[in-house]
Amino acid sequence: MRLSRRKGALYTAVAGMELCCFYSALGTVALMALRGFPPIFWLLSFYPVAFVYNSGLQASLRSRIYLYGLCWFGWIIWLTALFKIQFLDESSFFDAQWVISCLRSIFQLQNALNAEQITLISSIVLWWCGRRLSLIQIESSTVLSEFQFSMAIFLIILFIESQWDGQTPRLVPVILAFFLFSLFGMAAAHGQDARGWITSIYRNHWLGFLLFYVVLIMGAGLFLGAVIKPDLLKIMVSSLKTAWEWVASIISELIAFLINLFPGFDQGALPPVGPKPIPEMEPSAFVKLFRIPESVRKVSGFVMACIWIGLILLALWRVSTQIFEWLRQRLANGEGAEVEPISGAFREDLIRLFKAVIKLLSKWMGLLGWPFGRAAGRRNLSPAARTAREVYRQMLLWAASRGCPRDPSQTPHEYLKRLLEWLPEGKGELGFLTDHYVNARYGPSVPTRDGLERMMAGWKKLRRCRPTRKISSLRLATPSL
Amino acid sequence: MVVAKGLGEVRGHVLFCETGSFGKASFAPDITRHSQLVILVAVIGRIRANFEKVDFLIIRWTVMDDMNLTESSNAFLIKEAADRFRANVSRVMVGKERATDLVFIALLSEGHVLVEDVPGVGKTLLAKATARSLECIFKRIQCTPDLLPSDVLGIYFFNQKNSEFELRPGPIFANVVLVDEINRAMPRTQSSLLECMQEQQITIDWETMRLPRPFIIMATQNPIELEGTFPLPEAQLDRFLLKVKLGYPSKEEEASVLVRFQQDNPMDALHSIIKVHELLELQKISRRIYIEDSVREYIVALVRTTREHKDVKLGTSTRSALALQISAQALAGCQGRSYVIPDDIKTLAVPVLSHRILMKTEARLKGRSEESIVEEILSTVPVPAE
Repeated sequence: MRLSRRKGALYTAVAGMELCCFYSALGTVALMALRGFPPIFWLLSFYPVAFVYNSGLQASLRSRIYLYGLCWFGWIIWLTALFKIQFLDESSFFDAQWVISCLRSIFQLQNALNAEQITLISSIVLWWCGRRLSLIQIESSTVLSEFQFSMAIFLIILFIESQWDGQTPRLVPVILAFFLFSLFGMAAAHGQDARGWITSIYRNHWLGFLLFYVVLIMGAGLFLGAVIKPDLLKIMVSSLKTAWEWVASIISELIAFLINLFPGFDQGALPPVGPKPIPEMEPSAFVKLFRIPESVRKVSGFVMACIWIGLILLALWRVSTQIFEWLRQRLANGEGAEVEPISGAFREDLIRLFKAVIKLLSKWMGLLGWPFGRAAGRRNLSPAARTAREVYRQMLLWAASRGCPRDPSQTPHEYLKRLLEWLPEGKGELGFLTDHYVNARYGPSVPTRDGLERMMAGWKKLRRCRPTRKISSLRLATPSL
Repeated sequence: MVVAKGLGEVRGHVLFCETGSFGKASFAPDITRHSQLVILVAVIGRIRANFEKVDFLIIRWTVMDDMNLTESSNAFLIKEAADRFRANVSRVMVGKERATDLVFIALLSEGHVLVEDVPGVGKTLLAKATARSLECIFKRIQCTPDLLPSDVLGIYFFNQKNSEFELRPGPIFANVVLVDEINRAMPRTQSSLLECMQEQQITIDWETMRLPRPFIIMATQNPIELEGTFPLPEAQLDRFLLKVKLGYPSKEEEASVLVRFQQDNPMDALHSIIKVHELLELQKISRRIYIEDSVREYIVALVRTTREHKDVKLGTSTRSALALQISAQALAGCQGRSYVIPDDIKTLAVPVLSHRILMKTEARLKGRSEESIVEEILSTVPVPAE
């Protein structure tokens, strides 16, 4: 299959997955609209239009300001057309009244969102996503990331639907279509990266295998469709709901317990039991001095609860990290196993999100003159340097799993000598990867885009090499001038 | 007025370089900016070499907004000077490129060099060739057991003509001082060098005087004949940036030495190739070579490990960590690199650290050497990498 066709398949898969998500989400949002919701397909049209329009703009324009401006100008045009056709079709196009009426509806404040407001928000999201699709380079990690995020979104939608008594069964064909698109995308992405079953002796039958797997996936989808009935989905959703209620009750009990650790002085709400209590004496000034005010007590209780919850979450995080690390080590010890961290994995994305938020905050703090912000800014690595390191790390894992590990006391150039003995046919790629890594790791400059692309290409080429022997003995020598 | 015009072909890329009042340098469009810089430095060097009588030389080029290019160009300047120095010294010294490079690193780092080896391998020759290669004041002190501190530093004598005390400066007032057979001088004379080696100043009769810059001591010593010698104290050894060992030349190199010295002494034809102000500028540039935090931590880890080694009585000092950092910066510059990598540290660890280690007696009796201890440490401390 040619490169352009593979790319087309990948774009189709990602677009299909996202459209399935949007369709389900808009269907759920339609439940909340006060009156007249526009047809979902009209709203969905923003996505492909944005993709095509922005792809065209990028092919013809270079200035970022023009690109950005024209992009949102296109959105305004398409949104105006939607408003005119869907909401105010009866008025004349040149009548200014319909514009005023639209604006009034948008800025109207109510208990829930009206149709115009939902249309506006949805159109922004869809247009932005369509533009994003035209900008990103799709590979296997992108597809996997889309799949994971979409799964989370579907779960949320199902949860909301069950809460709002929506028509959950209508989502079944959409979810099946989503699975079809995602599996198709993953197969195509693996094919593009030359990984998995697509390498080795079957690579000449690429298309046949792809079609076979698509048929297999469709069959599996139909089977799942036959097995998973709406009742089963309802059971799954209700069990999720029960589980959530159980977790929420535990958390609330925990918080209540922690608050009880700081009992208040106010016992007056309860009726007095037994004989009439002796009226309390006015505490002396000395006692008053050491009495903690009620407001301080509440705040400290809340802080304590936060600390406890934070500690529990931290412990959970640490345990999960240990489990992941253990799994990775187990996999790495296996004969011929290749362990690669997937950059698009859900966990990695969440960590990246947190880091981005912290980076943004520290940047603002840096602008305000707070030293922490400036120091944090210096410590951060550029994405290009991080990518260069990641590629080199993958090469290290790959070589280690095939019998040529790096000794911790070896420098990259010392290790390169061993690698060249081990794999002489990869001389060019190994040297290039090492040089670029050393430049990115120890140098002040950021790797260029061209250099990174060549690194990735070299790494892909290197992975196809088949080393024949293992190097077990470490021959270390101090480098000379 | 002579105006230079250059056209060169370097590394397969054609470079048109015209010079003059409206000179310009244009590059082939398919090469990267980094390569452009390499070519530019190379062509400037070529023009300098071929048109020494040029009165007026302007080369104008457009380098885009990259700060790192300045650092790279600085590193290339150091590399070009190191190449010149190596080529000049190798006219006298045969097959001692490593020792020559170490000496140039010491020059860039403004540190002192201890050359140690058996007699007759060229210790003094290396020191003299180094001094000749620099256009600076060179003095020599031949150490003997009766040498006094005043013979080194200088003395205030009473001038009967004008009835005043006048300073007669010693040989220490020079840019490059060759202290030959340093371990033959008495400890009190050796100690007189402590202040000038560290602080580049001397004190005579309560008066402190600054020494000229650059100030470098090149000391030699013979490790074999120990009778009538006084081993250098730790405080003094720690003040030497590097210890250089020359070793015997190979068979071919030895034959080449005979041919070269058959008729004339090539030392007489050696001329200076680096001026004092140029060396001072290179020293400044060398300190600007970038060193990443983890590489710095690697230096600290190495130094600290020497203090915990089982065969070491006294490990290396903080001064040694500083020396390793400065010399690694210089080495990176000599290789045309604008940043330090762990290979630089490993390359220089033995020359910088080995003479600063004080071994236990039992380890010495077992036949261990300081060099082997440093190499063992290098093979145990993890290198900062992925």
